Amino acid sequence: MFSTSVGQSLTAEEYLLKGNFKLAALEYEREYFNAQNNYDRYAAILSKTECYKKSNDFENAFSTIDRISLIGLSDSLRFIVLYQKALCSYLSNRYAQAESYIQQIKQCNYFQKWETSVEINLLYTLVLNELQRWNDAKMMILEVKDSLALNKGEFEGVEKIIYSYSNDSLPKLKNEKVLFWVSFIPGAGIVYAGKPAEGFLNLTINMASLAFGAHQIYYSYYLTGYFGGAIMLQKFYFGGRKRAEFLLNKNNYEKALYFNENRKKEIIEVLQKKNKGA
Amino acid sequence: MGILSKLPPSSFLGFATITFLLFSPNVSGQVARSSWTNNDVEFMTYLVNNRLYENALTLSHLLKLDDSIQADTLWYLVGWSHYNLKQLDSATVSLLNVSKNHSTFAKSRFFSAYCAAHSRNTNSAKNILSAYQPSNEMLDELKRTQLAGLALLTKDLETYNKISSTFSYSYYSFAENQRTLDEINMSIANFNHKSPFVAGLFSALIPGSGKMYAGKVGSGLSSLFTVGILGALTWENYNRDGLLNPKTIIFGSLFTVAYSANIYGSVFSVKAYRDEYNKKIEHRILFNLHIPIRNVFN
Repeated sequence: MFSTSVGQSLTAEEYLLKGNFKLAALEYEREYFNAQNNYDRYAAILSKTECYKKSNDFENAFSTIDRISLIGLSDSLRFIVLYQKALCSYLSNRYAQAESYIQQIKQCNYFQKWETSVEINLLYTLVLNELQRWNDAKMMILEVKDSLALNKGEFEGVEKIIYSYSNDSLPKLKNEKVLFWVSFIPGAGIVYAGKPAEGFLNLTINMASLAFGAHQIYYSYYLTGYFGGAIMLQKFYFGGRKRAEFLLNKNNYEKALYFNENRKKEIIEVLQKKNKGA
Repeated sequence: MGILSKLPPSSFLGFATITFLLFSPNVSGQVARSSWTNNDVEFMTYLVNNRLYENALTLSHLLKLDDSIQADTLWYLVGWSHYNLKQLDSATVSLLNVSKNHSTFAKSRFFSAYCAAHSRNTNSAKNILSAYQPSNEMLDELKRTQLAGLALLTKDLETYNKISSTFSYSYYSFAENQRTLDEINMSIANFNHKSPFVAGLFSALIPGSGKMYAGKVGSGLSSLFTVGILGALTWENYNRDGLLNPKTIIFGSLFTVAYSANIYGSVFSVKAYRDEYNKKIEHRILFNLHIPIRNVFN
C-alpha cells in the first residue's frame, strides 16, 4: 500500500530502498493505520520491524514485532512472526526470550520444511552461545550438518564451525566457587583469575604487612603493630579478594565474547553462501 | 504465498537473517516538505494515542506545521509527543502554540508551564501561568497551586504564603498535593542551613565532629578513627624514638594530611548537605506540581 497523503513524494518501499529507514518505518505505520484487513496490517508491522533492524534500532524492532499477537494466526504467518520475534529478541539481547520463541517455532508445522530449519537452527546456535550453553550449541550445529539443506560450500562452512566447538576450543571459564576458596590464600585468587604477577605482588604486600605488624609487636610497638600492620593487612587482603572477583568476571566475559564473536562471523559466512545460492 | 507476497523483497527470511548481522549504511534521502491533509492529522492522532511518539515527531518534521489545517491539534500532538519523550524544552514551545479556542488550550498551558519549570525556566513558567485566564474555579485554584509551587522552587516563601492562603483544599484531584506543598514550605522555613565555618571549627577540635554536625555521622566517625589512629601511631613512635625517626616522620605526615583533609572535608560536607536537601526539595515540589495536572487533565 502507498501513502495517501497529497504531496508525499516517496512511498515506504522507496524510502527503504533509499536507506531512509526512519521515514520508511513511519510510512509502514501509515500502511498499518490505513489497512483494511489483518493481513495488510501484519505485512506493515513486519516491514516496519525490518526498517528498525536495518537502522540497528533493535529495541524498537522488538517492540514493533511484539505488537503482533500469535493468537489466531495461520501456520505460515505464525512461523514468520515467531521467527522475527526470536530474531529481534536475540538482537536486543533478550536471549532467554529468543530461546522461548525458537522452541515454539520448532513445534510449528513449517519447521519440518528443510528450507527454513537451517536458519532457525543457526539462530538458535547464536542464542545458545550467548547463554553460554556451548555444548547445546554444538548439538544444534550438528543438526544443521545432518540436514539435507546444504550445498558443498555451506557444508564446509558448517564443518568448520563444528570443529570450533571441539572440547579444546570451548572457552574455559573460571569457577566462582573455586575462586572463593582459593582466595583465602592472599594473592592466590588473583593468580587463579589469570594475573599471576599481580597475584604474587598482592601476596608480597600481604606478607610484608603481616611481617611489619609482627615485628612491631615483638619490639613492643603495640599500636604501630596492630593498627599499622593489621589494618594494612586487612585492606590488602580484602582488596585482593575483590580484585580477584573483578578479574574473574572480566576474563570470563572476554573469553565468552571472543568465542561467540568468532562463531557469529562463521555463521554469517554460511548464511551469506546460502543466500547467494537461494 | 499469502502474507509473504505483500512483503517487500528485503523481508525475505534469508535476506533478513543476513542483513541483521551486517551493518547497513543509513543513506538519508531528500525529504519534501508538504502540507497536512485530514488523513495526516488522523494518522498523527493515531500515532500519539498509541504512544508512537517518535513516529509522530518524524511525521511532524516531514510536513509543514505553521499554517496547516487543524494547526492547534497538531501543535498539541507534537508538544504531547515531546513531553512523553522527556524533551521538555521542545514540549514547552510546541504546547505554547496551541491557541485559546482549542479544547486542549488549558491542558497545553499547564503542561507547557510545568515543562518550563522542570527545565529550570521558572520565570518562563510563571509568565505562562500568569498570562493564562482560567475558565472555571477549579482551573483557577489549580493555577494558583502551580504558581505557589513555582514560588517554592525559587524559595520565595512570602509569595508562597500569600498565594497558599487562598487555597480551598476542596478539589480532590490536588488537595493532597496542596497540603504537601504546605509541608514543604514549613520544611524550607525551618531548615537549618548550618555554617561551614562552624563545621571546620568542630573538626579542628574533634576530628570528624564537623561532618557529624553536617549530618554525615558515618563519615564523621570514619574520619575520627582515621585521624585518631594515625595520631596514636605518631605519638607512640615519637615517644619511643623521637622526632627524627622515619616511622615518626611517616606517621606524622600521614596524620597531618588526614587531619587537614578532615577539616577541609567537613567544610564541604555542609555544602553537600545543603545541595542534597535542595535537590530533594526540588524533586518533591516538581512531583507535587506534576501530579495535579496529570490528575485534572488525564
